[in-house]
Amino acid sequence: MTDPGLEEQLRAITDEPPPASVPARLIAAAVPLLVGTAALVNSLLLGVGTLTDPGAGLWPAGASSLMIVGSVILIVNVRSVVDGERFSASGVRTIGLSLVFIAVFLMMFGGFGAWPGTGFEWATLVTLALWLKLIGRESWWMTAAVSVGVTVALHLLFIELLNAPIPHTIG
Amino acid sequence: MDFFDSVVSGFEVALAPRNILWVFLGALIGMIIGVLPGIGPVPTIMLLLPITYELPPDSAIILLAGVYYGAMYGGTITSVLLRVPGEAASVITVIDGYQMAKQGRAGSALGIAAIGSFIGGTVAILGLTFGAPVLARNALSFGPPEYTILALLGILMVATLTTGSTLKAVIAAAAGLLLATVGLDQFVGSERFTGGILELSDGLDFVALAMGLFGLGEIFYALDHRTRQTFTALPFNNVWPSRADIRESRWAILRGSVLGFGLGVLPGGSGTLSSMASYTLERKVSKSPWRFGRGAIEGVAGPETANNAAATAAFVPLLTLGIPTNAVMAVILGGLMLQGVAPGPNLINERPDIFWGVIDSMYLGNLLLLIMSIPLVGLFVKLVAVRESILAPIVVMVVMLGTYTISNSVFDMWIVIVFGILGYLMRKSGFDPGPLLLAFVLGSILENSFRQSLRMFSGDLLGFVQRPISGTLVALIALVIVVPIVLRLVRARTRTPGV
Repeated sequence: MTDPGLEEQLRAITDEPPPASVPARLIAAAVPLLVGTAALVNSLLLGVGTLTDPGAGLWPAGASSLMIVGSVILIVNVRSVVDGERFSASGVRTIGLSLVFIAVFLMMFGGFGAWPGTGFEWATLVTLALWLKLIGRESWWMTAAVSVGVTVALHLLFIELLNAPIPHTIG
Repeated sequence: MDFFDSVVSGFEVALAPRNILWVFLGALIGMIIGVLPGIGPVPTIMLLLPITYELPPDSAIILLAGVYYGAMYGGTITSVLLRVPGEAASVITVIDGYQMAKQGRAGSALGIAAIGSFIGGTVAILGLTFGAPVLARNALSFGPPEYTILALLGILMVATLTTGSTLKAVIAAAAGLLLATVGLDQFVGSERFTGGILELSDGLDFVALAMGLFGLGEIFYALDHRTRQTFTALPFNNVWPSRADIRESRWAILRGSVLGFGLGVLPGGSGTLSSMASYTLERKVSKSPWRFGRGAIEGVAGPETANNAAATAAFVPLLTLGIPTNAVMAVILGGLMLQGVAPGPNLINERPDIFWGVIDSMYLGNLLLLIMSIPLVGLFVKLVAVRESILAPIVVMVVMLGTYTISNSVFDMWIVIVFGILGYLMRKSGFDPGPLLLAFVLGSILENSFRQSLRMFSGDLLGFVQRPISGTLVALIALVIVVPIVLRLVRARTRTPGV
C-alpha cells in the first residue's frame, strides 16, 4: 500500500531505534516454535478425533501447527526479516523495577499468605510514591502531590461514584 | 418499523440529554488521548470499560465509539505543530503538516484536517446508515460454515494488511487462536491447557488479556522509549483554511472519504493503513508530486479524511456481523459483551436502540469534534507537556483496579502482568499484538462454527466450497493468500535485471 521512500520518511518521524541483532531475532522466532511444539504435543494428547467427530485437540493442533510452520519460515529467513528493536540495559532495568512495584501493589492490595492486605488506597499511594520517585525521578513535592491526589481521585471514582466492590480501607 | 422510522428513533436515543453528554465526553477524551503520544485508543477504551459497566448499553457504546473517532482528530494537532504524532494514524500527517506549519500555514493545515475529518467521518456514517442494514439482512442467512470462513478471512486479512511483517502477524494470530482454547472444551467437556489451575477453567478473561497486552504492555514499551525531551509548538494564527486551500484539497478529501470507508470496512483496514494509502494515492495522482514532503495541503487533507472515514467504517462489520476488524473493535466488542449485548445480524431487530442510537450519535460526535477541534488547539498543545513519567504509574493503577472491578479477581490482575510482559516483548521483537487479540476474540466463534460445520458436512471439508456464500469467501481467502505472493514474485523479477 505504501512505497519504500515513504516508509523511510516514516521511520525518520517515529525515530525508530536500531533493529534487533540476528541472535535476538533468532530467539524471537524460536520462542513461538517451542510454544507451538509444546501445544501440539498437548493437543495430540487431548485427542484430535476425526473430521466427523472432532476431538478437543483438533482445533488447538491446527493453531499450533500454524505457529510452528510460521516460526520455521521465520527462522529460515531470520537474516532477511530485519525488524524488532535492541534491548537497552536502562530500559530493562526500568521495566524490571516497575514490575517489582506492580508486584508490591498486588501483594498490598490482595494480601500475601495469611496477611489480608491493606486494600487499594494504601497500595496505590505507596506504589505511586515509589514509582514517581525512583523511576520518574520526580521531586519530593511532585511525588507527594501526585500520589495523594491520584489516590483520592481513584477512591472517589471507584468507591464513591462507581460503588465498585474493591477492597478498601477508607469509607 | 421501516428504515426512516428506525433512523429517527436512533436520533431519539442519540439526542437524549445523557447520551449527548456521553458523546461529548467520548469525543473529548478521544481528542485528548489522540494528542498524548504513548497512549492510544485501545488502552483508553479498556480503561473506560469499568465505567461503562455501570452505564446503560447504548450510552456505553456511544461513549466508547466517541473515544475511537475522537482520537483520530486529536492526533493531527501535535503532528502539525510539534512534529509529534499523537497516535499511529496521524504519523503520515507529520510529513506535510509540519512543513506547512514551518511555512506559517499551521492554521490552514489544522483547519483542513478538521474539515476533512468531518467530511470523511460523515460520509462513512452515511455509508454505515445505508449499508449496514443491507449487510445485516443478508447476514441473517449465514450459518456456521459462513461464520467459519468469514472469521478466518478476517484474521487472514488483518495479518496481510498489517503495517509490519505478515509472517509475524500470522504467528501472533495463531497464538491468539491457541490462547482462546484455554479452559473447558464446550463440545466434549475436557479441560485444555489449564495446567490444573482452577481459575483457568472458564478460559482466559478477555479484559485481563487486553488490559495486559495493550494497557500494561504499551506502558512498558513507552518506559523503554522515554525521553525527557520538551516540545515547542510552532506558532499558528486563525485555524481556518483559505478558499484556495479548500479548492486545492477538495478532491483529496473526496478520495480520502471513499478510500477510507472502503479500507475501514475490511478486516485490518485500520485508520493507519488508510491514511498511508491515501497519502500514496494523493502523491500518485498529483500533477506536482514534488510538492509532497514540502507542505502540500493534499498530503494533510487526504490522510486525515481517510483515517476518520476508516474509523467509522470499522463499525459496519462489527454491528452487522459481530466480527471485529481491528484491535479497537475487538475491545468495543468486549464492551458490548460485558453489557450482555451480542452484536451480529440480529442486533438491528433485537436492539434497534443500540444499533441506530450508536450510528446516529456519530453524526453529533463528528459535529462536536469539528466545533471543539478549532478553539481547543492551544489547550491540546499544552497537554503534551504532561510527562510520561507521571502518566505511566497512573495508567498502571487504573489498569489494575479496572481489571479487578470487572472480574473481582486478583488472579486476573496477575494475568494482566503476564500479558503486559508478553505485549512488551512482542512489540520489542516486531510482533504486532493486534492480530493476537483479534484472533483471541474470534477464536471461539471460529472453533465452534468450524466444529458445527464439520458435523453438518459429516466431515467433508468440500462442504465449505459447495455453499454459495462460504464458497465465495473461500475464493476470497485464496485471493488474500495468493495475491501478495504473486506481487512479491513480480517485484522480485522487476528488481533483477536481465530476468
